[in-house]
Amino acid sequence: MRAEVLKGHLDGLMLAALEHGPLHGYAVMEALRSSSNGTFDLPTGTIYPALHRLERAGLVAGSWSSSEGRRRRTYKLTSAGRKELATQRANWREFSAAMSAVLDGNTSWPAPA
Amino acid sequence: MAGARLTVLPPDVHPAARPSLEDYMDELAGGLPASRRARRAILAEVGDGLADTVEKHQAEGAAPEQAATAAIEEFGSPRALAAQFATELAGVTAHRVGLALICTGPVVGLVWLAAFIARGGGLGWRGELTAMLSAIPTYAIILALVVPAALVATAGAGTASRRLPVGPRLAAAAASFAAVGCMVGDVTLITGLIVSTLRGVDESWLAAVAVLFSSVRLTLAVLAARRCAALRAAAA
Repeated sequence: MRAEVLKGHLDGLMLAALEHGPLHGYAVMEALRSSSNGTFDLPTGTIYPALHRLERAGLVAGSWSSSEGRRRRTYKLTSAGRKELATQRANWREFSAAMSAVLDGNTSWPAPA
Repeated sequence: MAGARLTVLPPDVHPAARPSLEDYMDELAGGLPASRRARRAILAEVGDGLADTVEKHQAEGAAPEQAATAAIEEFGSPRALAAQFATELAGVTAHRVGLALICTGPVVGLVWLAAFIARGGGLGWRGELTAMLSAIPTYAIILALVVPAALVATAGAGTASRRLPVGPRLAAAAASFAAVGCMVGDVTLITGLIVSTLRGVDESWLAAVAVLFSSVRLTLAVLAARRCAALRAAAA
């Protein structure tokens, strides 16, 4: 799926990927790929500035660690990030339910004039 | 890029994969008008991600050079990536500059006020201050413009960035404006003091402290304005 299609949803997707524990950038990308069965296959580079954007907004907190000679930056959700994720989930459920109702024809349209 | 190479690739990256990855990282570094520390942090993070991506392609059977080429393709243009990082750095830098100006403003102002009181022997300082503001009305105008601009700059990051419709580029522009305003204000105060000293007015040691404080802030404001303007220009 192209990055433009996901624009506006990427923050929510990344927050969801981090919900179960801290991850580094590449692991966030892999989590998005695997949980969407490969549908969300963004340019890997885009994930890093996006994580910085979430950190700038105070929704995630980044920290450095070292293992096996590698410096690695991992991110975890902040309490503001958890609240934002809950809000985005509620908004998405409302939006997708309304879209499904319209697109699947599960709604009663007014009779044509 | 001039000077020492900032490229930070993990040591376990295959030697055959390194040249093209290092070229990529050099181009990324070249598009980041950030401090050396901030640039190193970004390069270390991207380098780690590139190494992971190369490993994945190698595990799928690609030769190291091919794996590096595939990883670079996955990461996208280094210039575009640098612009996205510059946007984030612009917001964070604007936030810090805005906070710094808001926090230091009252301190510098109080030192100048103390200097004026000391010059007046503790008497009639209100008159001194009023005289100063009326003599240099631009200073009051500067304050009226700098304070809101610094507040807008703080919305470049943190809680305010989630609540106010201020993007990183606007925050960086506000930070540059506030820093330039402070520079004008400090130059005005220092110039006024020099003129009054030349006219034979006895200044206290507090005046020297005020000049020192203003000079330090002036220097930092010049650096901050330049950094914010550069990041804003490089931002996506």
